[in-house]
Amino acid sequence: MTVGLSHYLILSAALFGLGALAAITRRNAVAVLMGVELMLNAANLNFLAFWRYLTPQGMEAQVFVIIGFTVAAAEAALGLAVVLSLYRDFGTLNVDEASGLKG
Amino acid sequence: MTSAIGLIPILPVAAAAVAGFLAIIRKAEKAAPLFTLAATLAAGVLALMNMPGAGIAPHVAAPWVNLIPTDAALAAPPGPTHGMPPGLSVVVGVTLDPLSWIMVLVVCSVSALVQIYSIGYMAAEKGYARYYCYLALFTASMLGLVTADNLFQLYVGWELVGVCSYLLIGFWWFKPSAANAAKKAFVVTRFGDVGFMLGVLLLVSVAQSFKFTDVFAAYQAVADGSLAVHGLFSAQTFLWLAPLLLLCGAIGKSAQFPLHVWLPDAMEGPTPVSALIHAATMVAAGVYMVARLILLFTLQAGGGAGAALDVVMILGAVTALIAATIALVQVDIKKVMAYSTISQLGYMMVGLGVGGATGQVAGMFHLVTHACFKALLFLTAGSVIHALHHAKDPNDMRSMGGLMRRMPHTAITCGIGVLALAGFPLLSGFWSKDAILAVALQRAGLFGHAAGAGPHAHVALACGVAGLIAAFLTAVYSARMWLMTFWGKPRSDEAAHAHESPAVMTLPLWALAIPSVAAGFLLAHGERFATFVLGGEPGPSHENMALSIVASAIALAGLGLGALLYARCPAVDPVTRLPRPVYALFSNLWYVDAFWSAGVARGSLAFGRAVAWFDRSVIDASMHGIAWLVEQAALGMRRSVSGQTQTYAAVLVAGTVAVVLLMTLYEQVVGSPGPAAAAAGWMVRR
Repeated sequence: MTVGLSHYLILSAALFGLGALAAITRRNAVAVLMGVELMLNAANLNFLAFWRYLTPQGMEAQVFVIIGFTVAAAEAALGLAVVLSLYRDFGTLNVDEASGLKG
Repeated sequence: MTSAIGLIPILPVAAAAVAGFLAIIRKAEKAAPLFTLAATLAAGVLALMNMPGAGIAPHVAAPWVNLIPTDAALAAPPGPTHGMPPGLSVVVGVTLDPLSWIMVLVVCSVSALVQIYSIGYMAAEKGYARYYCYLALFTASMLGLVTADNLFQLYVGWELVGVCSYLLIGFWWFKPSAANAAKKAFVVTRFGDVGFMLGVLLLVSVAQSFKFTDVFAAYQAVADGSLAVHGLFSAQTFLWLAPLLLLCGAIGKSAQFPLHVWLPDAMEGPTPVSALIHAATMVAAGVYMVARLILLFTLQAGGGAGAALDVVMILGAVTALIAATIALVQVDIKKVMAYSTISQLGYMMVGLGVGGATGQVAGMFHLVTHACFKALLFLTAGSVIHALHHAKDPNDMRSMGGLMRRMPHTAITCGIGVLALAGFPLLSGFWSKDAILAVALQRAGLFGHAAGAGPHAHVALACGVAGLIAAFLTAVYSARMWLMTFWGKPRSDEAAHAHESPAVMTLPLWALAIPSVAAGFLLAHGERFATFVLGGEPGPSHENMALSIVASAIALAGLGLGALLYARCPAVDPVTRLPRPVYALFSNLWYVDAFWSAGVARGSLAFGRAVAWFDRSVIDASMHGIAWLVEQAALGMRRSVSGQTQTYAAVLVAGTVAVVLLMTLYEQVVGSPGPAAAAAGWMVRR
């Protein structure tokens, strides 16, 4: 069998699902950030797969992926800053305890 | 000088403003009577200088409200008029025709004497300037009322005197009884005033004018059939309804049965106020109004007998009789006089009920003489109360007695007033009461005969006889009152040590005693009063020697009976020995007050409670229910706001998945992209 578009898409969807699961269920703030990184990379993988199989003549997909990397780097920096101040304020990295906006 | 008569009501208003200013700054309060008295006297002098002659009635007027449309408005298509006939104008002014002129003199003279008297009576009271402010305001309102030549100004004055009455009854507002009496007077008269206002509106809507002369002409035209009545009522209904609605106002204001209940309570006010407002002037306003508009009542009768006049007469007779019996058993000296006033007002109504110029003259004649002797009686009562003001209840005649020797001026002038009230031969009350009985009984075919428009003969007969009985009762209670107060030995320490009032109070008494004696003879002699009122035409004489002898005999018999019972000052009041049910009826005020408080007042309260219940448990409750629903919904919603970012993310993901699933499912089932997919596709294509 040959590897087609659908295989990439399934991989990408699995990656996205795992990332989302981590972001939603992990209690540790750093692990939540890692889950978000996984979801971003799943999106990048989608871009590249569609480019390769549907619009190989265009450049848009690569541009988007590079922007995605940049956003991911910035998100990691900002996310870690948030995690640091979360730890300073609450003395813990458990996101369950950061529920100051509870109604 | 004619134009100066416009100042007649304005001068007292100005004086009231000055007195009110003094009352507010609380300085020089003792100067207030100077201004009000000067204004009242000046108004009286102005009236004296402008006596109406034959066919001449001094008149000044100024437009107040002018709704006469301009040419431009006339050219425009007619729009809604809001009930106001186009071209309506209201003119205020002072008209001194004989009827008004008499009333102006009565008001000014009694008001001036009461103001002089009050200098002594109210000397120790707080709110001295406020008192004079109200008195002057009342005088102005009353003058405005009686000098009106149109229904509008009459109505405005009518309500203004009601307000002044309210203010003066409640002058001692810190006493709950006075505050309640003031409210009662205002509310009870309002019952009648509603009818009066409806009557005015009905007449104006037909006549398209407020002027008395226009109203009379329109009423005549409706009666002739030359003017149609549009709206709710047929011409026939209009003809009897309009006068009866006007009569409602007179029933309230002139304390006629069954709305008389406010007047005895109004005695909570200062006694000089009772003399001015609740004896001589304001309560006579209803009588004056009916006399002024007597033409409507008479026209209603057509050429024969009419229902409107029957009602006036029966009402007057019932009032005269009932009030006289109640006066018989009262022990409060002011209450005796209050019921006596009600009874005499009923008398005036009986006279007016004869209709036409005859009834007008008879009613107005009694109004004038009554104003003199009843103001006198109230002022003497005030003098007695002033002397006994240390007593527990200074108004109670049972603790008086023997004041004759200690207060000779008061006793003698009161005796004159009592004799005039009882109809002692040749005193003023005798002439005017005689005139009323004569016209009523002549209508019934006794002591002469009267044809033309008027009440039914049997009504006139019944009312005339009732008048004779009331005259007897009047004589008895008058004698009782005077003897219990001034005769025999003092029945309390306060009465034993009473002193005569100062000259400033006794002089007005003598000033009123003179007309109480002489006014009747002077005015009745040669039909002088009738000739003046009718504007120079000498009216037919209704004097009848036989009737005068009968009336005198009745008055003397009543006075004699009173003297017989009370001259020896019995320890037990003889009226309490009346048969028990009769005494109970009289002393319980014929259960009229009970009817109003149990039936009407309680009924209103019950209705109010029902409305309040509906308001609370239906209207308020539904609002509270909506608020409760919103609150519960919010309480449910707030549980979703957990503050857990991860929960939000989970919901976001689940929502997205759900939307995508739904879109797919829709496409599977329907076979074409759904609206959400179409929207997504459109956004992508952009």
